[in-house]
Amino acid sequence: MLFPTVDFALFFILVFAVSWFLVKLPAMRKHFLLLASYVFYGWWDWRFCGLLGLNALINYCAARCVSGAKSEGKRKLWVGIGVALNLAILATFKYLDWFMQSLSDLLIAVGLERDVPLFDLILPVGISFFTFQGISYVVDVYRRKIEAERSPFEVALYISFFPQLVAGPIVRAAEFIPQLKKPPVLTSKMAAFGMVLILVGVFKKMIVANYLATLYVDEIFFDPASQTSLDLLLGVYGYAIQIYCDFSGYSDIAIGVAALLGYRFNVNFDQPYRASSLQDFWRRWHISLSSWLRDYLYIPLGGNKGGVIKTYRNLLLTMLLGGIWHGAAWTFVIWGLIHGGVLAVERAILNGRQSAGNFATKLLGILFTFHVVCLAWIFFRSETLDTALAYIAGFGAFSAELSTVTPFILSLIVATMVFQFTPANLLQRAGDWMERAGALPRATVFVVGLLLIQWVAPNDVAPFIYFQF
Amino acid sequence: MNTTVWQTLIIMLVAMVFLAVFNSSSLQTWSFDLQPSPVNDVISLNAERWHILMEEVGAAGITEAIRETFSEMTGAF
Repeated sequence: MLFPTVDFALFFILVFAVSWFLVKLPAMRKHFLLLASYVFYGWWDWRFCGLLGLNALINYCAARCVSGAKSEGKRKLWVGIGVALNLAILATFKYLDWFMQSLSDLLIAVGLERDVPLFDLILPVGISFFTFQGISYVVDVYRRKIEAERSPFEVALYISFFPQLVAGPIVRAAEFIPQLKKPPVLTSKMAAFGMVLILVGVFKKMIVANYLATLYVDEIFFDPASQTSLDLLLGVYGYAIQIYCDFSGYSDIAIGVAALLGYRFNVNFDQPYRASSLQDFWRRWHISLSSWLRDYLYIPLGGNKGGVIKTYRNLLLTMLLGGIWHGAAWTFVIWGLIHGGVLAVERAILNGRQSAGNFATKLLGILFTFHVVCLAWIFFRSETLDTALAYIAGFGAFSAELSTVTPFILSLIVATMVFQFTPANLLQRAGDWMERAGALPRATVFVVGLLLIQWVAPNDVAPFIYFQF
Repeated sequence: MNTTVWQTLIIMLVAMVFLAVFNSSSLQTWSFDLQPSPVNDVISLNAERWHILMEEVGAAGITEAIRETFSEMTGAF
């Protein structure tokens, strides 16, 4: 089910009404939300609800075994088994065919041509997200940050809760499960903030991301060799804005929807293109993933504790694996290497200092960071490595004509960039205003806002980019 | 249910009604995409009737005019 659709609107109004009707029956409310989450997921393909259930069962059992183990060695063994099973499921669906294809290519290259079977597995929507949530649950139980849940239903609800199920944010068990223990409350502040986030998220996705994709970016990336250098440059700027609005728009809606159901999720994007270093960028972009990679990969690898060389290695490995998490393709590998490599170089140069400095240094840092991120986006967006290389080669032509961009597209890019430099708490302030204004102005803003977006949005709703991961 | 829940539910229902009134063509398109079944056939039929009604009262026309104007504006600028 996609967020900005009639299906979801009907589904959510029903879920909202019933879940608050059941507020005095907490166990039943949680069971209802679990059922609703499976309906939400099953809307795409019912067969994969079994996989979601299996994931919850594995993590529930693994956490119980970790918690019940008598020795540290056994705890370590159970957490290892839990993480391995999670990764095995992810690897089967996401990487098996890529591995078999690569094996086949390798055998052909060395003259040992064989019929290597391909399985053509359908990638279950959101598998990368719910796998990471499952791993974080088992590891957090192992690290004694949380107790292992007695009820399998609470673990299942944590993993499958529909607002964040298919494209994040990656919610930590330590943040979400305690919320399930308390009676949910919908304060006027949460309601107002939730509505602001839903409106902003729908606007980012339906207007900015959809128009940029359909009117400009898709065409540029389809055949970069036939574009001028300036179009290629604006094309990647456009994609940087598109993916930001697409993904942060989804996160905004998810956080807003969760707030309306009485649950708090942490912010997932914090004006990332105002970052003055790549390290700063990763504190602002997909925060739930970057903090997940830091806590469950970078730190277990040794973090910055084992000396300079090991720190650089760990940075590179973390970002490389972060790239592969997006998919089994060389383009994602290079995306990860660019980020990991520049993070390592930046660390060597800055040596822990933030590039605060004067205005010019900061501006230079922002421009440099944005362009490194854009370079990596070229690989991220391109269908193949050859397309990405053709895209980069196109800059060398220095052709300055603009063939397809319109002032409307330019205004979307510029306006979104300007938004990056507005006060960080702008949405919070909008929420506060909506709360103070009372029910009627709140209703007016929400209804008129949705109506305006529907009026001017393109007719078709493109799937969210991060659904494929 | 507390007051905020009621208010929020009413706001969402009002939003749905407004969208159904002014965006009846999208509702119709959505209903045409449903899997054929006795229930969905009834939904499709009623969505079509609703859209015709909205065309008659002029609500659908407002949407069309705004969409057209916006499309011309974005094409032109």
